[in-house]
Amino acid sequence: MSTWTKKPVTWTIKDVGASLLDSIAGGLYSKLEVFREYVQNAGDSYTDFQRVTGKSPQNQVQVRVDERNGTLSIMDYGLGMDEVDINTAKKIAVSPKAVRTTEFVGFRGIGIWSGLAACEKLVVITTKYQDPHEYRLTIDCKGIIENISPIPLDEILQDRVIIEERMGQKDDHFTQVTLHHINRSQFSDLLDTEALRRYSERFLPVPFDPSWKDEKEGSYSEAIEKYLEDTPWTANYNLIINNEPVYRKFPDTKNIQFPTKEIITDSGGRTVAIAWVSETRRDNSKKGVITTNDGSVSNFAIRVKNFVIGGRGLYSEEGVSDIQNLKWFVGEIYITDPDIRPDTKRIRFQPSERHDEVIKAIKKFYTSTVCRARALSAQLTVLQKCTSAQTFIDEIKILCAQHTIDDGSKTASLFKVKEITSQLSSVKASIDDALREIAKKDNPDQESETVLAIRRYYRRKDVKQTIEASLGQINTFELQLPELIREAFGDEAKSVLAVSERPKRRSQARTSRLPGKPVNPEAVFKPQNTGVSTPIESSVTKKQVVDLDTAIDAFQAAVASVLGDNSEAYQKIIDRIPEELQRRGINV
Amino acid sequence: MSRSTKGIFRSSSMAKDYIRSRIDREIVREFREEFYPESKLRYLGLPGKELLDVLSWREFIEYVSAIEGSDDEDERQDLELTIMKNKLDNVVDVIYDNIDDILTSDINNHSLKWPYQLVNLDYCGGLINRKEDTTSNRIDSIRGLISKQQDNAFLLFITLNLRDRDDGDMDQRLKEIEDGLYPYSLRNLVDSLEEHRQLGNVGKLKIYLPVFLLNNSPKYKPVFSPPVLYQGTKQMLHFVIKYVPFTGSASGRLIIPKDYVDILNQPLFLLHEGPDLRQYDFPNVDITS
Repeated sequence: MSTWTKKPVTWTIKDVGASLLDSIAGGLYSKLEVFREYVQNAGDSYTDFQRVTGKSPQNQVQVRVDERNGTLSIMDYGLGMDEVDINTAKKIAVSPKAVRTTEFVGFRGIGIWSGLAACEKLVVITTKYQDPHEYRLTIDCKGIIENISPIPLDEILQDRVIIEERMGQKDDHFTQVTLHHINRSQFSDLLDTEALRRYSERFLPVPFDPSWKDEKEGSYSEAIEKYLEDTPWTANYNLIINNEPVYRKFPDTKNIQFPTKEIITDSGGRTVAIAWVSETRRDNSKKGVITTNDGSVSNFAIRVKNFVIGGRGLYSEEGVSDIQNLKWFVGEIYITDPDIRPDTKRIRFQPSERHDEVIKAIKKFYTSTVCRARALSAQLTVLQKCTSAQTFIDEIKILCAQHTIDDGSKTASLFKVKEITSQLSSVKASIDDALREIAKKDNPDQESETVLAIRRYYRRKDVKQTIEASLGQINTFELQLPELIREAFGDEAKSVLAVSERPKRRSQARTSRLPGKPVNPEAVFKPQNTGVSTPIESSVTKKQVVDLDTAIDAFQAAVASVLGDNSEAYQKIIDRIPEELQRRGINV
Repeated sequence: MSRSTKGIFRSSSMAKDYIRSRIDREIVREFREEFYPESKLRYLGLPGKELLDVLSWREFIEYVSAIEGSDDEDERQDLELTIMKNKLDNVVDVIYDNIDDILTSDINNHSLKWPYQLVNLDYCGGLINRKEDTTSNRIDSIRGLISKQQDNAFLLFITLNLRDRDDGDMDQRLKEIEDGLYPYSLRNLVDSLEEHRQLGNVGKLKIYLPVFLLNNSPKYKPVFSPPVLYQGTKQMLHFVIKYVPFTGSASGRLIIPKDYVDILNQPLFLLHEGPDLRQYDFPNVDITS
């Protein structure tokens, strides 16, 4: 048997079938992704302009939507293209950007062809900086799609891709891409100005709204721009749709706090992303979710080269618990690791050497953010308790002030004071816990991130001050309370004090001392034989019927729980029961 | 002669540029001050792919319905390019249709925003182009325009090619005017009409168009600026008419002999090259004689 000998293999366009275009035509991109591709190309043109001329580009991408006539045009005033460039641009999946610097966003070379399925004809008109010629590339998309078959690519493209030239203005430099007769049944969004605007607000590198500011705290937009000024690939385009500028849309500053900057690092301490984070301002409720009814957003967007990848909260779906708490925040994560690229559809990262490390770092960021949410919740809770404490103190004072005169409602008020005092004690315990937490020393090696975060939130200057002030107030009030009650309620106050001073123990009511016996639950609900011939009717409702023993037992237990069964007042009340019953014609 | 347009984007002549920027622009400014001082104007018409009128009068204009009847894809693309380069995206609405069909139709298929304060009918062809049944699309469309303006003040710019297949319509009209004014024994009437005839279609259109507009605008008092004959791609005649709403009588304005005499007595301006505007006077028809 003889050995193998290599033979030369040559490739020509005849070796590539037109059916390849089926993939491009058949939905490589969804409707608005087509739009994104052209905007991206427009942006890259400005990068080119700066690189070649050294001048600052105007960075404006202009979009015209003509819904009636079914056209969409995207125009930039970047470097533009000459004859060589336009011939390169028409190539399929061959991009000079891929071998140039990483500053370009597009790199797959599909750019010009993105709209193949979206329209009947694609026209590019362009002129390059300092070139007096204009060039026009026309692609007969309809003709290509209708004739896709397993024939060589060049045969299907012949006469359906045309390049023309004319004289232009030497000072001009621009590229206009127009999609003519857009396929309305599948790509109607490309003719919907509002849909394009909404998409751009969320996904494209448009500026922050300059009016996004708080009266007291200042401009949120400017703060974020400052955080990002040294971060690569964060430049924005001024996107204008039908002469209206588009800005990123975020919640109103009355709903979110001033943004802060965070640096996201991998396990080796290498920076992989820069983020800005804004917390909910919902401080009157535990539910801190940022509302998005007005079309703004919550949670985090990940940007690669300033274009958003995937949905908000990308990569939080696995390995991060309580992800709903991410909606207490809004922010953006700008990937700075040059190894990270988006996949073709730009919904996730393309697999690469650094892919796993970066995702891990992002998940860690989400986890610590969720802990912040828990900590924020704890903070909100303790602040609420401080507010409640003040309310309780005020209520007790009011109740006491009402009873300098003896009237029939004193007893009811006494019950109320007792109840509120108990609630105040409970709240005090929570506030006290928070203060003790503040004083503890952090032990990151042994304590959870949530615990550390809670402590951090408690230690915020305004929070700590509120906790300390509240506790002080409660302690002071507790010292004053006995005298306050005595003045208001007189002798009976003693028993209240006695009860409040005694440590809590099991009720002394008679019913709690009865040994009892096991009973059939069904039997319990049958009317008891009280030995009373006449059923008792409520004098208030005239409807309820209860046996006398049960009624007396219940009353005695209630009085004992308030006054204590050893108190003089209790005894007096019990002694009066038979007399009161007899007055009502009941013999006991 | 205008510059060759082959391979060159720009197609206007120096004379037309002069008319647009020096004569018409001033008329637009004064008109706006007189009737719409607090608002900008809506423009309807045939501005061409370079939108030269719109760009020249941009400070006065709020909105444009640009009618583009050409099927030429190059023309359409150039129009779109002009719109975007000049940031007119939300100002100019392009309607690809025939202007005469739009103006004669009772249905508003294109969401036109009547009334328009500026209407520019820059026709490549003649005015009448009479059909076999003696009707004329263009004449009918101008009637349609006037009725759609809802009695609001507006400026009408009409530019016409001198070539017109009128089948003797203009001669007929001039004769009717002559016969109608003759009993008044007006001095120089015959001379004036003769001079107009001798100028050919220039002279005839100078009378024909204003008379037509006068007779078809009962709710208005049209005020005619002297027409301008200039050299564009061909010899063209340019009219500007200020339509002032007439409220003097419910039955509309009465046309009197003086109205015809005023038309005859208007001079003709000539613009052959650049800023060289000349005035051509006709024998003055004296109504006091």
